[in-house]
Amino acid sequence: MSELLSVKGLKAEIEEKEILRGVDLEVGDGEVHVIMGPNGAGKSTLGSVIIGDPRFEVTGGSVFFDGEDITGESPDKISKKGVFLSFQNPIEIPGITLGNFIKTALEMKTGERIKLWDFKKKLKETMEVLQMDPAYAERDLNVGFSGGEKKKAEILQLLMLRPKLAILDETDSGLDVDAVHIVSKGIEEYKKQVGGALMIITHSTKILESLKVDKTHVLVDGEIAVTGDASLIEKINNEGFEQFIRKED
Amino acid sequence: MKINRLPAPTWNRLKVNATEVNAVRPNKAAGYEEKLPEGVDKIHGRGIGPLSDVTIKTGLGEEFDKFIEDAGFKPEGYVVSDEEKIETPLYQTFDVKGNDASVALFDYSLSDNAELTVIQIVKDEDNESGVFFVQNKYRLSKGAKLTIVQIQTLSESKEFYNDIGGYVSDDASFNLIQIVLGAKNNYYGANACLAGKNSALNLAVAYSLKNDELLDMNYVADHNGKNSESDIKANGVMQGRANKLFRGTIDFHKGCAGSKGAELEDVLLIDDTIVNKTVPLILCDEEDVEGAHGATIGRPDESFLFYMGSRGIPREEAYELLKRAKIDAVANLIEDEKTKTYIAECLDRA
Ligand SMILES: Nc1ncnc2c1ncn2[C@@H]1O[C@H](COP(=O)(O)OP(=O)(O)OP(=O)(O)O)[C@@H](O)[C@H]1O
Ligand SMILES: [Mg+2]
Repeated sequence: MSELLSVKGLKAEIEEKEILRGVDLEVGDGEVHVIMGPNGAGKSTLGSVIIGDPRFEVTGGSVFFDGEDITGESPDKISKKGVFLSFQNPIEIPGITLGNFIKTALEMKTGERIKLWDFKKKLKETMEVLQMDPAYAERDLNVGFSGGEKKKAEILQLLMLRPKLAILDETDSGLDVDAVHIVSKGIEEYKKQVGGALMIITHSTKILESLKVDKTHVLVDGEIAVTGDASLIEKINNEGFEQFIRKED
Repeated sequence: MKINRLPAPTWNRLKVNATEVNAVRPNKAAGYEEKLPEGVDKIHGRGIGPLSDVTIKTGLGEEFDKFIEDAGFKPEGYVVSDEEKIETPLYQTFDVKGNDASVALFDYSLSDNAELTVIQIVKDEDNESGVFFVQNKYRLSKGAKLTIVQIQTLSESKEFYNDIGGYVSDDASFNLIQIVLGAKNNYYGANACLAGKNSALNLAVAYSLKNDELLDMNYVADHNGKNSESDIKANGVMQGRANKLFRGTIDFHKGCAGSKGAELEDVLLIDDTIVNKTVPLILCDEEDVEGAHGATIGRPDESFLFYMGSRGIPREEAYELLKRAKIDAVANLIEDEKTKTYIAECLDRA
């Protein structure tokens, strides 16, 4: 059986600076993968490149999703195939409300007009899961949202859009204790309802507590230094990344 | 004739001081559907109300005014008497038909503390190359408040001349909200003589221009009264080979001490092939005044497009959302829910 996501020898650069230097990674249907690594290693870049961020130039390798080559495709096409990226730093979009944004995204996905009433009901229920004030649906997307609220808005989109693969880029960072619980519940809900695969980029373990981790990858300096099972997380937490960093003398 | 003349010529190689047009003479009074609310008196002919002898300057200007007068059509006058606050808007719907050059002229006269909202919808159902002229003149007595809302969705072969001018007394205010969604050639002009102390002009226009559409604007706030205020906002999205010229003048005349004027443009340029011209002008014959001009003119941000894309929203649809955002920002100033829904429907259809 072919994997859901298959990244092979992926190289990418920005402004002539090589960030990804040959990444190999396979994620099967419904699997939970954790990506760890020091700051600046290229974790966010990997997520961005998978979803087709045009700022990065892919200089080698390939990304296959669901059996199709998506290397160099535009983000909207990749998204439509079922990839979702929860951004580490979601941008603010004045003039477009959170509700209207999600509705448009859903309509693009299904190719059909969605009845406003049905949509509002579904949105409200989902916001309840994340303990979000329904009034936020009428607010401009992320404008004036706190760091934690922006992350919740990303998970709200995840739950509404129901992708086959969700890449979560430090969704747990900057969240207070309660918010981490709520967001974790949201992610659990996604697993339960959609059964999709997860690629979780994180520096902490709190968000992983309620999930069964299949694999852990450590990304160092644009390459996967080591891949292991869930126990690797514990090891890194105790010993740090030092052991994986190549000494360049 | 020359229309949309700047109050003071500027040296500018873009030829923006005035616009030369070759308009066909109006040959027909425009038909329209009207809902006249109770409390508004309608009188045929010019020269009504307490300020009837005041000469009105309009945005499109003197030559246009004369051109319209020479065509021999009479305006409809609307009078609201002292202290009458009309809550229901006066609706006028113009269905511009065929290739006539039709004209509609209106005079509004609001007595002390009277209030009125006029909603004019300009549309068509054919694609003939007609011309439509509309002129609204207003005279506001002390404390009166007039709001004119105009929504234009003409097809792409029509030409539209939209001329406004009026006189604002002490504590009176004129609000103008214009939504421009169609027509091949658009000539918009509005002049407010802020004659009284604390008189005010609030003007907001939102436009979406595409293909070869043209929008030529001339907005003037003539500050004469003390502590008068003007606020001019223009929000727009330009695509294709659209052509826009925005003239916004805040003219502080001698004696208008304490007055404030602000103009703000927010334009989104989607294609490289558009022509975007802007002439903000602040003229100052008085010392104790504040005039401000601001502009945000730019292309859609790449990080915005990427975020949209990452959610499955392609470029064109992202532009559509931005366009709606710009128009909604102005449409939301309209109090009348029915009209807001109408605009939303027009945008859905587009
Ligand atoms: N737009 C950009 N322009 C220039 N350099 C960039 C850009 N984006 C990322 N980089 C560089 O790429 C490298 C990897 O960045 P990336 O954000 O992928 O790291 P990360 O592993 O996610 O780190 P963190 O744990 O801090 O989030 C960094 O050195 C960063 O400075
Ligand atoms: Mg990162």
